[in-house]
Amino acid sequence: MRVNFQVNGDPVAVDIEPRLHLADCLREVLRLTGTHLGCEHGACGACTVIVDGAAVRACLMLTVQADGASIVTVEGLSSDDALSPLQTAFRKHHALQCGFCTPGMLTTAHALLTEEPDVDADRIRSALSGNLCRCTGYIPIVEAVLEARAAYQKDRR
Amino acid sequence: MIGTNRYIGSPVERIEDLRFLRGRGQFVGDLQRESMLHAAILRSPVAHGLVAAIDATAALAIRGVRAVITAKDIGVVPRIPLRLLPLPGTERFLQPVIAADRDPGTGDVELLDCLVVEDVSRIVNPLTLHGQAIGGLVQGLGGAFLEHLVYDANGQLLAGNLADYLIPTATDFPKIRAIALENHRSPSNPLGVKGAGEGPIIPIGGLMANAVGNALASFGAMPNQLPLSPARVWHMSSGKQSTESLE
Repeated sequence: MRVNFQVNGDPVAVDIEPRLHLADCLREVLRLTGTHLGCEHGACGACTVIVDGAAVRACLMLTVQADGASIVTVEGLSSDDALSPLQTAFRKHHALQCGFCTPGMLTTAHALLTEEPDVDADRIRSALSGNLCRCTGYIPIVEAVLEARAAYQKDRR
Repeated sequence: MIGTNRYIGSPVERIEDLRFLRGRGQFVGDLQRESMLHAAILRSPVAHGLVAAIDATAALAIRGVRAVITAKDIGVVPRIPLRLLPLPGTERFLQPVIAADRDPGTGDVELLDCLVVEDVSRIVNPLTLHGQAIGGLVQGLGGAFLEHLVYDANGQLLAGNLADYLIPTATDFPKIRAIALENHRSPSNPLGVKGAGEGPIIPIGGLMANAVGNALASFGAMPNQLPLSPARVWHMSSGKQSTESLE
């Protein structure tokens, strides 16, 4: 089937099987391997991408459902030149070790901060509770997201 | 020239983070090479069976299957020796301090505070060291309270995926702390450093069992199994001393 959507600002058209889920389409067809597959049944959150502003599990969404949508993956969060303020805060607070959950953490946190730039630590923990991380213990991730709030608050003004 | 190097002992951000944060880290599942083959590992469906022979003809007849590799093709696997004792002259890590309480209605345990103090000799990068301590602590807490390897009567694992096997999430253990001391430099190398990584995993199970036992002392509870799930804690706080009869 022919499906048209935008990925990180660029229009793309793919010919795919109707059963192909969005994460496999991003990884195998478009070769955007930043979106990771941990469990493929919605438990781990590593495949989270942003579809029309909402954080979505790409392993639970069919590619055909994305027809006409605008998708942001981890590759679209920053330019080649500089990390985004959220990414910079992750690095400063050592909010990643092996890096496998990081794309899902970043996309989930980016969607949250875009909607709610004034979130408190409890709300951040609740929003990230669908993203599993085995390395960090979550403390540094929450600290990084708290610090990145300032950039999103500025964007809104 | 100990103490004059401006990098040793300072928080240094990691170089590999730049590619991980941009989605350009290369994990095995991301690799794509010309003529690449995929492998799948098949295990016996019987947990304690003795494999007498494996007939691969049906598998080899499937279109696209290039090879079936069994133990017979590998031959003798060498024994890899383990070093089980610490080097003489190194100090063991000491135990964390903890405080726990439990919900008398549900048996859910809330961690009120948990402080890990490690004497790690000389600290090279405090940023990554702290990450190891906090990360190891939460992994230990997962083993103490959540992570339950459930097997059926035939020895089959019933909690074999991330929906059934609960590892900690961001909401589970917010009240934890870790600090590191530099009181005992290692005598075994010129820098005076030791390895430190996820050390708190080791004592946490026993410590949490002691903390829960202490909280339930009036019931005479003696936790003797992990994880300390709400069902087990509730069981012990209703007058049963241990959890042995619960399974």
